[in-house]
Amino acid sequence: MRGGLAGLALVAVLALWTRAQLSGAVGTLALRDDPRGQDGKPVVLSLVTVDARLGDDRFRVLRGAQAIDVIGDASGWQRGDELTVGGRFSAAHQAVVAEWVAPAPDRPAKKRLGLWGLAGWCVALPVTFQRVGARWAIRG
Amino acid sequence: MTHLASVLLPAAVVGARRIGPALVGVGAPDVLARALPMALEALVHAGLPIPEALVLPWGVLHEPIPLALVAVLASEAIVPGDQRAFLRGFALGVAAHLGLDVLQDHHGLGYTWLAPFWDARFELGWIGSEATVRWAPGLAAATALAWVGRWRLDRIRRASRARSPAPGSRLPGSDSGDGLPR
Repeated sequence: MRGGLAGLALVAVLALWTRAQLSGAVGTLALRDDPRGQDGKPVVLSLVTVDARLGDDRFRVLRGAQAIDVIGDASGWQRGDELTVGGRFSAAHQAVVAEWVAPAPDRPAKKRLGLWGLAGWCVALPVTFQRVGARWAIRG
Repeated sequence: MTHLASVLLPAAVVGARRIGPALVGVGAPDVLARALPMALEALVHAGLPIPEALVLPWGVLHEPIPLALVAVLASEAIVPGDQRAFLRGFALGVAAHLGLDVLQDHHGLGYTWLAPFWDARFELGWIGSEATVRWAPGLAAATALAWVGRWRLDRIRRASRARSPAPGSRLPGSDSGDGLPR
């Protein structure tokens, strides 16, 4: 009963968050879905990955599955670089006009450490629980 | 790895035994809200037709309110006698994870602590978001050392207990419970 209610509430929470993103209330989907409404608004693209250089002053970044164009000096970036971009969205250019860019050179190392941590987690968990019928008991 | 160490290292030092729930709690935010969507995004980039609505929801599982619901849901898989301990340990693990994350700086883009009900963001910004990369190897080594030390200490204690039986236990040749041979 308690688990069922928590499950229902969790589904509602996930749906609310998805709706908030699709409506543009949070996240960056509004840059794609409502560019006119976002014109001139400040944007911070946190820890995005450079996908492609589109010229000397334009490059594309990936934020999750979303591709976003950035207008700014592209000469220092290569595909796969991770950075944070701050600027304002331009509907005319369909891009974020960068005011500052902060590289995150240690990001790949952090992701590798995360994978090691995940592996350690997966190894440690089965050792700390034991199967009792259809459920689990805490071992120790 | 730093998050894992934030639970395993103190657990080794204080001799905590039932650490499973705290491990689940410390890993849950990143496994559910980072690893899962990253895997889905990789599939999208690989060309699989995954609907956007399936990729978007998971990020909120890094925040306290959804994690509390996850904890209650997950506790249903635990035997009834251990459910309270599981919830306590899970909360401790989540607190360790979020306590470390709130120290970070993401150029003003903090965490949405009251998501999905309020999208205001907050972080303390005391350390860079990649600062933990430098600490991780040392923390991992310290954690491994602490657990090896604790394992050896446990072995020594067990061996010592086996050599000196507890008062009241019966020794061979004795017919009373006082442990003294007659």
